[in-house]
Amino acid sequence: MPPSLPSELWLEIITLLPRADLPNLARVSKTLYDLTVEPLYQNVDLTNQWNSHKATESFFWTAIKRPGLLRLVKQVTFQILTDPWLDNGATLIYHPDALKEYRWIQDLMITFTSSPSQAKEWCSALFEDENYLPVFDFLVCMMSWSLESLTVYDYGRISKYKDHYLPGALLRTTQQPQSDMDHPYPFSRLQEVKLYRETFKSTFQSIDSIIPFLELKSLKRFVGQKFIFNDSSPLNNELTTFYVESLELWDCKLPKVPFLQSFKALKTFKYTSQFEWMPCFADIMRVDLRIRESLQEIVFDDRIEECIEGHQCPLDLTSFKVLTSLELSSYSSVGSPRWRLFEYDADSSPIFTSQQIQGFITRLPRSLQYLKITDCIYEIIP
Amino acid sequence: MSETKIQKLTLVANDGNKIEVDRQVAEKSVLIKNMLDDLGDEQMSTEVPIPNVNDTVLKKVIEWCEHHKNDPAAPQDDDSDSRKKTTDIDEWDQKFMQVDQEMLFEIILASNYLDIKPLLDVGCKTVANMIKGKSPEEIRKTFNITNDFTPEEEEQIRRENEWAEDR
Repeated sequence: MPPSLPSELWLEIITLLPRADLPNLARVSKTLYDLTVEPLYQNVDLTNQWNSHKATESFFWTAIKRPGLLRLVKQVTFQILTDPWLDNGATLIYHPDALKEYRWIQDLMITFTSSPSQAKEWCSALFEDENYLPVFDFLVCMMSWSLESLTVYDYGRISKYKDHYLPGALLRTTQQPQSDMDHPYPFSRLQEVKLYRETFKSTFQSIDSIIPFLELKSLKRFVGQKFIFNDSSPLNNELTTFYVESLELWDCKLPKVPFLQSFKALKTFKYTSQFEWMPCFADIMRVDLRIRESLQEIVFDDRIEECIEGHQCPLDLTSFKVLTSLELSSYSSVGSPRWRLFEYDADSSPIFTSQQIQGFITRLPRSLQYLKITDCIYEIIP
Repeated sequence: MSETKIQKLTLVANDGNKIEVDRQVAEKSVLIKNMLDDLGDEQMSTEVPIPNVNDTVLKKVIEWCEHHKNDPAAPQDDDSDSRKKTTDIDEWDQKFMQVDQEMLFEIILASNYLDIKPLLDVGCKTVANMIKGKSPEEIRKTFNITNDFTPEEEEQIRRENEWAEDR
């Protein structure tokens, strides 16, 4: 009898294969199908493809014809697709016989909507032109029992749409009493949400629009790009509680009032700005005092060129009592290096004075174990 | 307390053939190494039966161990993620693995049984490289696997996984 490999060795081999080879392997035999299907659906990436549009269309078909497979998905990555000319949602063509499935879809949608009529509306929208957004919402909801991580690119395009059912669906699930914690309910496993907007778009989206995500008790990490914090946002309200432990903001606009009060479990705060005109390290001093006392890790990369007038450098960080890890750019931390205008000799490039360094060091929290200073064009140590 | 450590071992394949090897070479197998460690040298007979592996395969495995006897031991709990998706194989190993499919599977099974992790990795990588870019029919031919799907079933599976295809 020819030798055959046991399942655990096939699984080992499957982890070594690029995803593009898995569909073919799944068609080889029933045994290999059973072994391949889980790794294949565990991480679904509908971007980075030969054709993101076609991939999403095919996945939509799978969701309708083989809904059980979507319950294997733990990580998913979407790219919001719009009509290239009209800025409306792209049209995903469905297979005509998908309409036969209309009944169960509508029944399922009731779980995620406030009324049967809304479920009906959503279900119809799935099979109309410019259906991208209702389909996106549908796919995320279909995966919601198993989903642990959601990544969306070009999320900014969503704000233009009217039929966005996902925030409502999230709200409904967070408001439902959860009697049986052993059984997963929609979104009960979602730990990580990453919403990226187009870097070069000049508009910001209100962070309030993603509060339904932040309200999930399971959510531990949120990454957002191009969001704006309004001064009066519920996010700055002590009465609200979010469970996120790691908050990462890219190119966002922070409020001018004390903020982050509602992030009561926050341990890590990362802020990265690509704009040189947005010096913001001083903003860290507006982090609510109680949150300051629980933060363990801060990454601040505002890439400013030099210390702005009026920006108190170095900052006194001693109020961050349990901070163990700090990463920030040299200008934000120490200030502008001295003598940069007068010394043209190559050997004596501008330096930070020992006074500056000393001032920075004495203002660091005592708990600090790790310090990384980035953007060092000039020598830090005199 | 033994003064002289056993330096040579005789491995006995399942068909009774005996192969003498240096202890250092045999200890590439974690199974044999643990056996030596557990029993101690006095109680250890220098003949070690390897009931699951035949003579031809055992010789091949020993050939690999001889060549790699001076390799540093792999870190115990290496991050399994860093290993994933890298299917590069060094040149000598590539040549070593140029055997028929039956022998390839035998080597993998033997290295799994004898617990020779680096050889098992090379074997799995070789199989993965043989799958890459092949159609289902080509994979079946390469590995001698019978198609137990009806054409309709196979088409259904093709369709449901179409989103993941890279074309």
